[in-house]
Amino acid sequence: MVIALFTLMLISVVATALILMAGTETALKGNYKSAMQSFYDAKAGLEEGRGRLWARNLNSIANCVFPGSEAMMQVNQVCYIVNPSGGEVVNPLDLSAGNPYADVEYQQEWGIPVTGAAVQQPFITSNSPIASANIAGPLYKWVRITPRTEFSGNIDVDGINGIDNLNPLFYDGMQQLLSTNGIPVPAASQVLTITALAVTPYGSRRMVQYTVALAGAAAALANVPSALTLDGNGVSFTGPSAGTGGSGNGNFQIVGNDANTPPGTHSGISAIGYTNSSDGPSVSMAATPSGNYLSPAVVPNVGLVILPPILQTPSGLQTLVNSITQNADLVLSPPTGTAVDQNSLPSAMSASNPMIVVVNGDFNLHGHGTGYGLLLVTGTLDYDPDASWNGLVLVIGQGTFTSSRRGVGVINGAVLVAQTRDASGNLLANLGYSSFTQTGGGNGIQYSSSWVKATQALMTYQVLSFREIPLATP
Amino acid sequence: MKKQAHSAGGFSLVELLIGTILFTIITGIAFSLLMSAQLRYQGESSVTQAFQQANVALDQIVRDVHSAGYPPANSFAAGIALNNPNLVALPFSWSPGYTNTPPTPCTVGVSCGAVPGDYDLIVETDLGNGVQWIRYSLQGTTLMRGMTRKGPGDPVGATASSLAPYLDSVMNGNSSLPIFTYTFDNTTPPPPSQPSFIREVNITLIVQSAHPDPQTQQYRTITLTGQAVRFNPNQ
Repeated sequence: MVIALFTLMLISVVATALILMAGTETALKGNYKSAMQSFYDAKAGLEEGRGRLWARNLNSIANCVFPGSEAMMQVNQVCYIVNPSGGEVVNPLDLSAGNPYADVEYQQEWGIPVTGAAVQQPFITSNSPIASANIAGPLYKWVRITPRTEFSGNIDVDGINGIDNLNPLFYDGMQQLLSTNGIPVPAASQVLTITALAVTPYGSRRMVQYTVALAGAAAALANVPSALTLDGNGVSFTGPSAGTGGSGNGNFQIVGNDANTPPGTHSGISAIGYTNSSDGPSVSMAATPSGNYLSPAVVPNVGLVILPPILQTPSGLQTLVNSITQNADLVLSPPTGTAVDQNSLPSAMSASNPMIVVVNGDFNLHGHGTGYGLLLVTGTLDYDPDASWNGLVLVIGQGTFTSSRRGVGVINGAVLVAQTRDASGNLLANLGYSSFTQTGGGNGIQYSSSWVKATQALMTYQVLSFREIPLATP
Repeated sequence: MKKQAHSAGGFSLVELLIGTILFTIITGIAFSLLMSAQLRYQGESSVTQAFQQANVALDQIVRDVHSAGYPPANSFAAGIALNNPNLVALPFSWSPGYTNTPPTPCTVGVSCGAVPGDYDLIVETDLGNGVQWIRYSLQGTTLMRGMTRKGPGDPVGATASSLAPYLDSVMNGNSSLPIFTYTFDNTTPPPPSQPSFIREVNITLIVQSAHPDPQTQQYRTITLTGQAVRFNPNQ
């Protein structure tokens, strides 16, 4: 009996040691897994915030960030998306020590507690859990969206007068710029900061942060200066000669008068714009008969235009192309020497569902259909004016727009042509001689501010920077 | 009256002997098991400790790479970034050619020398007090970590004095297995294999336990792998 008890005791000791050993190892691996999970949960929070900033998102939070018709988010403004789980309360404004989700980080960025900011309440609720499928979703607790200033980013963006905490920052597609006196920077979109906190049931906490802004194209193209912009040096323009209109053919015109303003208001832009003054005489001479090229009285029909910085250099335009490509609904890459045509366009494209289509090569816009949205062609765009396009047409790369056929189609929106690459595809040091040729006919180009804005809305918020914010374990 | 014999009053000598022998055998087996478990526990503890230390190191490397390149050049007005390169974090430093004006990019595995290389990596990021150079370098079997403010000099030389032991018994060098391998941006056409285009750093740590296994007298090794993505955009 004694022997049996003694033996049992020894075996119990051995078993306990083994269990403890396994438990320690399991706990170590569990901690690592929990830490990684919290990181990716927080990252998921950033993505929800970024995605819901997009105006076309069905659950857009743009009304919180840009309430009313305000052009920019004010410096003291804060929007939260909260994601409580299991009936818990997530209140980042409760800064008491017992609240594991208190937003004490805001003060580090802005110098005041978040309770002193203009926080929109009630908080926006996360839509990441899918109740119908019983999917809890990522375990981030809150996502905070604020504007960005030099002070909040602790960065002297312009190197002037130290760190500014009054004026929001803007992004023009290439650089950040400081606004002044509450006036947004022209042709630039506001920089926003998205911060997310994740806490797992095991107590791992991670906080990560994005700075985002509307993709560069959205800001740069928001105010196109002319219905047809010939961007570059030594550009060429050839229009149809007089008398090409008539049966089966439209009356070719390039019209800078805005199609979306009431008659008689004379709002609009130049019909044709060029960016190098030395190209003025040749373009003006080619734009005949003059009655085919119309613009409001205060704007020259054919004139010199100044483009945003991103549109002035091959590298800037390449940044724009990259930005558009990242947002594209469809990217077509025909083999060298071949072209894709309108049959490759998405069937879901419609007036109510405009899209971004990028063609890395040559594209034949033929047929009798109508495209909607933003069309970017890096090779040659061959246009049959039986087809129409509502939106923006960008020919950036080889910078060649050709059209020799007849038709009754029209481009409603605007067109920009720029040569940024040589025939071998190498990026040029300076913009080359883009060319626009439309000799057959068609109804030409009609500037439409609403279609330009519609394409702007297709662009999503792009990530400008990312960082992880070190957290002290509470 | 006759006194009745009492046969159940105790153990016989034979019974005691048998009992003692059985007790000794069972106790011996039990202690043998206990000793074996104890040795195993010591061995596993040593491995677990190595695992834990390697885990912490791996996690820190991953965190640093995640934030590599913060703040990028697009955080500044154009002239500021150009004239004050120390305000901007490139994702990764390199040598030689870094101190040229402008810096001359090298090709990883070809002309970059040791940094960035199989056993040496310098991350540039801002942890809150300006852009830092954070260097990981394997020296012998010790992974060193050092951090210094980004300056105008050569990042390899500038970080050399800040290096301190970070993880011991790293056996990658002995196994000729790189700690760091690199994946570049997935664009068309593919970018050159230069530090600015590193998108992912794949980390492999082979760590040896501090003590030999008490049973086999052999050192045990564990291998941890991790993948760290750089989230900041290209400059």
